[in-house]
Amino acid sequence: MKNPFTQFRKSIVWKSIFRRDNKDTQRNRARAISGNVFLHFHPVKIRESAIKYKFTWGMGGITFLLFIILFVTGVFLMFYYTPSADQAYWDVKDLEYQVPFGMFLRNLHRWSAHLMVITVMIHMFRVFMTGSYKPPRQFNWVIGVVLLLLTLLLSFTGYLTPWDQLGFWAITVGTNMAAAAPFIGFEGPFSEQIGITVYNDIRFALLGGSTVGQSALLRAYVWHCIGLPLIALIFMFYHFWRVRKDGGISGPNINNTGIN
Amino acid sequence: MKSLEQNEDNNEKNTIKSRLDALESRRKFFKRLGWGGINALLLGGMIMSLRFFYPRVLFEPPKRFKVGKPSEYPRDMVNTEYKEKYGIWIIRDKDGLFFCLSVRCTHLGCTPNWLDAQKKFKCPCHGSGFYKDGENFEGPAPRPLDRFKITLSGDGQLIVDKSVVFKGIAGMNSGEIYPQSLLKT
Amino acid sequence: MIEKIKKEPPYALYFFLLAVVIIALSAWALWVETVKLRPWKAYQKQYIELKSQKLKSEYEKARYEFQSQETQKRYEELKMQLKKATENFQQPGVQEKYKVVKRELDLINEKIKINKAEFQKARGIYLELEYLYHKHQKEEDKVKMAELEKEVVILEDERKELQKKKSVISEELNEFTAEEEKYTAEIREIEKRVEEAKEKFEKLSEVPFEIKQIYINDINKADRCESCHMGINSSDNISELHPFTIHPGKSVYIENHPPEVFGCTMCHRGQGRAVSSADKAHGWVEFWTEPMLKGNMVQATCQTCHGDVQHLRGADLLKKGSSLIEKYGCYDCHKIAGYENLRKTGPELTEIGLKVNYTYLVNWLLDPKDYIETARMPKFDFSEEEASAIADYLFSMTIEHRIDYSPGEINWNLADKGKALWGQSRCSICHPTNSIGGSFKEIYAPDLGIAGSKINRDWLYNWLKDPKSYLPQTKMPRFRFTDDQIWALVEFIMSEYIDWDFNPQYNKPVQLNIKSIQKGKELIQKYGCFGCHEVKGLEEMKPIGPFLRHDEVSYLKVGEIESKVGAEISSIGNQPIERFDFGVLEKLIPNDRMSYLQQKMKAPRSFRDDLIMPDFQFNEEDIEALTALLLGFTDANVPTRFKVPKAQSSFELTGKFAQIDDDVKCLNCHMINGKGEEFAPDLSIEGSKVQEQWLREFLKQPDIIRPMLKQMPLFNLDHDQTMIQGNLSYSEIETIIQYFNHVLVSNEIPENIPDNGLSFQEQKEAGKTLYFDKGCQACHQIGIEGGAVGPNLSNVGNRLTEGYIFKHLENPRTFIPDIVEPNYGFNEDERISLTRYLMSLKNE
Repeated sequence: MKNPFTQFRKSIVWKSIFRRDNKDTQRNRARAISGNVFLHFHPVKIRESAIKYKFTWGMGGITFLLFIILFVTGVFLMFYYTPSADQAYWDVKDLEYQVPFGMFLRNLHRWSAHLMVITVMIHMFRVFMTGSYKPPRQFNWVIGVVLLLLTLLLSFTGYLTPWDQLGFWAITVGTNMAAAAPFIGFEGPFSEQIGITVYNDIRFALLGGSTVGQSALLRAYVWHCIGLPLIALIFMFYHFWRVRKDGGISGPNINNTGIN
Repeated sequence: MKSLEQNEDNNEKNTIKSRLDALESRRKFFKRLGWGGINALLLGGMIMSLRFFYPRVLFEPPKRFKVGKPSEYPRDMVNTEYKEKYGIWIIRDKDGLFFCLSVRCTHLGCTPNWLDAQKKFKCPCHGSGFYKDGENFEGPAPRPLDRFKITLSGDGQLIVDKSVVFKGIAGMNSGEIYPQSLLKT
Repeated sequence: MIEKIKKEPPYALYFFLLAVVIIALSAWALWVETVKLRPWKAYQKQYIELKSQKLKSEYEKARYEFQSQETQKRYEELKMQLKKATENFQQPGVQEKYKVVKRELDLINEKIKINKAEFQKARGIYLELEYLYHKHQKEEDKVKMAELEKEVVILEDERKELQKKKSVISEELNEFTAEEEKYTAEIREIEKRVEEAKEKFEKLSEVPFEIKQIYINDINKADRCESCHMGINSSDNISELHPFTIHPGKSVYIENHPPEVFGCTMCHRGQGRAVSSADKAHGWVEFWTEPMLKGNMVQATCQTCHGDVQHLRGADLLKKGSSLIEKYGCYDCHKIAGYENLRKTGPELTEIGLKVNYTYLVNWLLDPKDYIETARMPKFDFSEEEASAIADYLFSMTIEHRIDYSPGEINWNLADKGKALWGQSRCSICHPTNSIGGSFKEIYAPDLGIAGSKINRDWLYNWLKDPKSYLPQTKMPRFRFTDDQIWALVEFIMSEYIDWDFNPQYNKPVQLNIKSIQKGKELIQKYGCFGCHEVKGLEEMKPIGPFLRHDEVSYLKVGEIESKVGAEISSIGNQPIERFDFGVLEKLIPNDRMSYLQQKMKAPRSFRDDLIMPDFQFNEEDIEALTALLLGFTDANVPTRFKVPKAQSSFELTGKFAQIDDDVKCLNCHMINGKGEEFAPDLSIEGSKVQEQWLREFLKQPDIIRPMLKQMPLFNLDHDQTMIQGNLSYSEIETIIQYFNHVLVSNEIPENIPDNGLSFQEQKEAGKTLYFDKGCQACHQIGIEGGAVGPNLSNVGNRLTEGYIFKHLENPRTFIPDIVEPNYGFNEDERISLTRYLMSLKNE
């Protein structure tokens, strides 16, 4: 009458997978964290004050959760999406019309994306208000800003993928802004003097042409699905690692020393 | 008196114990409920993900389709018009009977070609050869080509139904064992 | 220190609430996925229920028939016979013989199988050797190959022998069971009816719920309409209910446009991929640019592929709309592809001062329809001052305007002569008077009901003398009147057709005001009068209306393209709704294309104050027809395999006949090889169709073949030596006959009909019998007997050639596609007889 799951937890198979036995000891609890590949960014022990929701709002964690949701739903959506100007719009429409749970996944992806931008903002607001950007965490703030930028770029490139009027004109406007950058954009200051034209500026690199078309869609797609998530992941892990290395999550100033 | 006291004490102990038991069972219940919920959600998610991979609509040619009027087909000829689109050959034999062959080689599923000069289907992958009636005679193919149902529609057009398959059997003539695969017009 | 930190309150409640929210959301998501977004499931269920009811009743009917006495009797009889046959077959003697033959057949089958295996093995080795030989060129391989080849041939021969034997034995075997099989088949035949009905009914429950889709690969069109409209393409109607009913007008629409080739939305518009709600599927949602067209409006999309809507079956609205566009000259102000290079609708105004009087012109400008009911000119809502300004400008262009407009004394004698001429020349075929007459509507000849109060006497004389000298592109033929005759006609028109309420304020030349002239010119420029009328000094002005349909941008000039790319390029039928300016009506009428177009035609200036489009006073039916036409003006780009372009006629009249046509305008009424109008008979094969002598007589004095008001006019009634009493001169008639005999002939029409061996009289009698047997007299008239639907045949023997009649009887639609006459499918003998009979019908 023993629970087969409990039996399994006591077996050698369990031990071989998790590299520890099943006894409920302090050591094993710590090893559950330190030995877990997914949780090993997480410090084995943290101050109780640092996990107070009142203080952290949990926004960094929620942002990461949203990133995971976006990653998973994004992979699913890619199964039904073709990055071609003829097909993209209909594929997105078909997610609603005929793909089982297609509408659900698409909306999950879309709303999570909106929410992620908001949570990133709130996270930065909290970090700013609690002074957590101060030394020794000053460089992690810089990484955070890079991550904000990557989040915005992911949103921006994802906006074009349905290939509808909204996305089309948003990319037209957005890339035209890039064209106004000094030196690298053909409409920006000094670019004329160094021979920058429509065909060799930053906008051209983004669009793969001089107008928004098939190649722009493909570029946005590749950046959105592979390029930017990869870069964001690298920066995220560095961000988390720095949180630990810079003294863990900052806490309330208990000693009134200014440094915590 | 003592016994009474003891009784009371016992009673008290019992009530505490039963309370603790109740608490314990309630805790257990909620624990099960919580884990049960999480597991249900995971299971549901898995079923959803699985269902997601089976779309409701296919962008493939239909299983049943019209292929024109019988009078468009000369006798003793292999029609290769629908080979690419629907994966079939329509053949009208010397006696004017129609039948419809699958373009899947029975060896490993390549698509043979009709060689009109040699009057045979020849598979480019491993050299299997088939006669006009689908019978295998050379190469590694183990059995004749499959046939599909071909009928006449109300408006006088030929209809091929690929959902009805007459599987070729080694050493047998499909026309003999499946007289319903032949259409007389 | 740790004690100092206050413990956080437990979050259990929050977690619990969030858990509830997440469960509720999941349930909601599941409901949306399975029910809300899939309304077609309910429709399919309903349809299958309806269908099963029908099939069930059919099954019961079949069963009832099976159980009827008659069927049962036959059924029992057959069963008895089958039993007898089986008993016969089971007799020991027969059985033994049967078994012997059967064994023989099995043996041969076995042999064939072995032979096949050997053959295949030999072929296999042979092919391998062949490959090896090609690679290594070893001679020993070649030797082996030759051996194998021999073996293969032997095996093949052997098999052929075996097959022959097999067929003989099979036949022998079949004889044993033949009787049994015969009865079994008959029994099956009776049982089958019930079983099939039952199977149909039972199989229905196996029909899967699924989205039904028509996918057209090359234009990436996926129409899923049949997911709800399940019965639309079925042969019998399951239910009259929407969405289950069958497609109306199947023979025209579905049979010519099989759904598996055309889909649904190519004609109906709407959002073919959407199946999540009826409104979405029909495209009746915001931002879907092509909402489904309701009712007759669906004809609009015929124009996507069909270039010629005038002769399109099942597109009556377009036919009407297209004639309206030509009638009112929409193309004069709006550019419309397919209506280019047409003549301007209105008359030239440069010399208007010579033609009409000033008061008339002002009244006309104020409200043309009020003045003459059939007027085509729209109402511009000019004030009196504006109207006079325009009249001032127009009069100022005439160099000489010292013209007498006074009616003068009427010479009644002359007028009477004119009246006779008016009748004889059949003027009223084209010209209505006070809305009476003018049976040939498409020619739009002016209503002459009050011409006497409008037109200057001298101008009218000059006009009748030679219309082309005033208006080179006119449709008016030049009648060969003498001066006396013209004056008589003028006198008649001036005396008869007078507006008695008309009170001209002056009959003398007007004093024109320079300021007013300037204002008139500005008004003409503003309202674009030069679109429909030639106006001197404004020839270079461009039409002012926005264009309605374009084929391609190539007609735009360089520079224009840059400014027109994008927005302004799209045709009206697929212009985005944002580009329609609803103005003050934005909240009052629905903001869609159709409502806009209807409102624009009903009250063109109701959107804003400063609009200039005039009011054509269309009625409801006109508006419906024009809306359908305009909605179909799109830039839809369909593959050429769908397109049915308008047949372009490259035929041009030549030689002297062209000059005659230029003068008397044959093509105003007749059509020759696709050029001209369909009012009078098509002359494309006239040379082969009619007899020369008849043609000569007819041209001298056009005879009555057709009812009144459809007769050919007489172009001249001269008694002069050079002109015969008739219309055209001898030489002209000979020119026409020459032209007909050489150009307007058909190779399909034989000169003589074949001989079938019967005597002439026999053929004639047979033909006469046939004529009355087939009921020809119901439509045709001979003498005074018979109906009046078809042409009178009393004199057909003198009129038509026998070859034509013979060929015409074969299939009347060969030469006249829209003819009422049915195709009786006469055989050659019958056609010969009928032709002989008809050729014998001659007026003495």
